[in-house]
Amino acid sequence: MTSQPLQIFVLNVPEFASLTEAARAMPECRVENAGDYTVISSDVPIAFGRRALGLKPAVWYGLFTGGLDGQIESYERDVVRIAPRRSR
Amino acid sequence: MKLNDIPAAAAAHNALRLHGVDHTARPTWRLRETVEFYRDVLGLPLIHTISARGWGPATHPDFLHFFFDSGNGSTIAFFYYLGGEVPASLADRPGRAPLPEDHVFDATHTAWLVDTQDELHAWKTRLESRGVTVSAETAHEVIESIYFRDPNGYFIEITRKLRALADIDARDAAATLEAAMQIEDEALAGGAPFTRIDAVWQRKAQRLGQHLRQER
Repeated sequence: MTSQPLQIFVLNVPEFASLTEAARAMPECRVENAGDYTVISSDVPIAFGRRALGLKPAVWYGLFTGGLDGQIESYERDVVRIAPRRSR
Repeated sequence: MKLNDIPAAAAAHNALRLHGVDHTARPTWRLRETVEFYRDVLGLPLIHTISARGWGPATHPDFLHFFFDSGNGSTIAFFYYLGGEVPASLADRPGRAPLPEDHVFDATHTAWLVDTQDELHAWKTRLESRGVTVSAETAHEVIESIYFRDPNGYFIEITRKLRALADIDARDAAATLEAAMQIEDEALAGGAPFTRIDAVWQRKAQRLGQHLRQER
C-alpha cells in the first residue's frame, strides 16, 4: 500500500485566495501555479481553519470545489482535515 | 466589466439569447395577504391583473392572475384559483424561519438583484420594520444575499453581486459539471451511487492533474 501526495486545485478567484495564502505559510505544502488553478500539494495530512481563512460557511463548504485529490478525514463547521489518498 | 455582465466566452456560444426575466409565477391561496405583502410590505407596484373564467379543461377553475413590478421590466406573478383549497404540502409553510430547511421546496425561489451593500441593508431594515423575519446576510462565493418568506411560505431572496463573473468561472463550471455528469453516468450504469460531492472533487482533481501532466 502506497500513498500519493494530496493535491488541492484552488481556482484563482478572490473568494478562495485565502486558502492559497494559508498553504504558502505551511512548510509541508508545495504551492504551484497551473493556469486557472493554484495547486497545493502535501505528502502528509493537513488541516485548515474556517476563521483563519476568513470564510463564511457558504463558501467554506465549497472549499474544494476546484478539485481535491485526497481523503477528507473530517469536515466540521470550523476545521477541515485532509490526508493523502490511500491507493494500492 | 460591469458586475452584471456575463463572461464573454459564455455569451459567444449563445447567438440566440434570452434577455433576462419577464416574470416568475406561482400559485397563491391567500389573496389579500399576498397583495398586501408584495404591494405594501415590499412596495412593488401592482401593474397588471387578469381575471378570467377557467381555461380549457372543465377542471380548470376561474382565476385571478396578478403582477407586481420587480424591476428592469421583470414582474412576479401569482395565480389565485377561485374556490381552491390550500394544498397540504403548503399549509404549514407560512411563518417558518427563512432557512432552507426543505431544500426541495425552498430551492424554487426568486432572487432579486440590488446594486450595493447599502441597498441590501436598507431592504433588510425595511422588511424587519414591517414585521418580516429576515435571515442574516449570507455571503456565497460571488453573491451576498438576504432571505425571507412571503405569506404563502415561498422563499424569496434579495442579492447583490460581490464580483463580476469571468471566463475562468465558466471554464471551472464546465470542469465541475463534466466530472459530475461522468460520475452520474457511471452511477446509472451500476457504479457507486452518486451521493457525495467528494467524488466530484476527486474526479475533477484527477482530470485537472492529467491535463497538467500532458502539458509538461
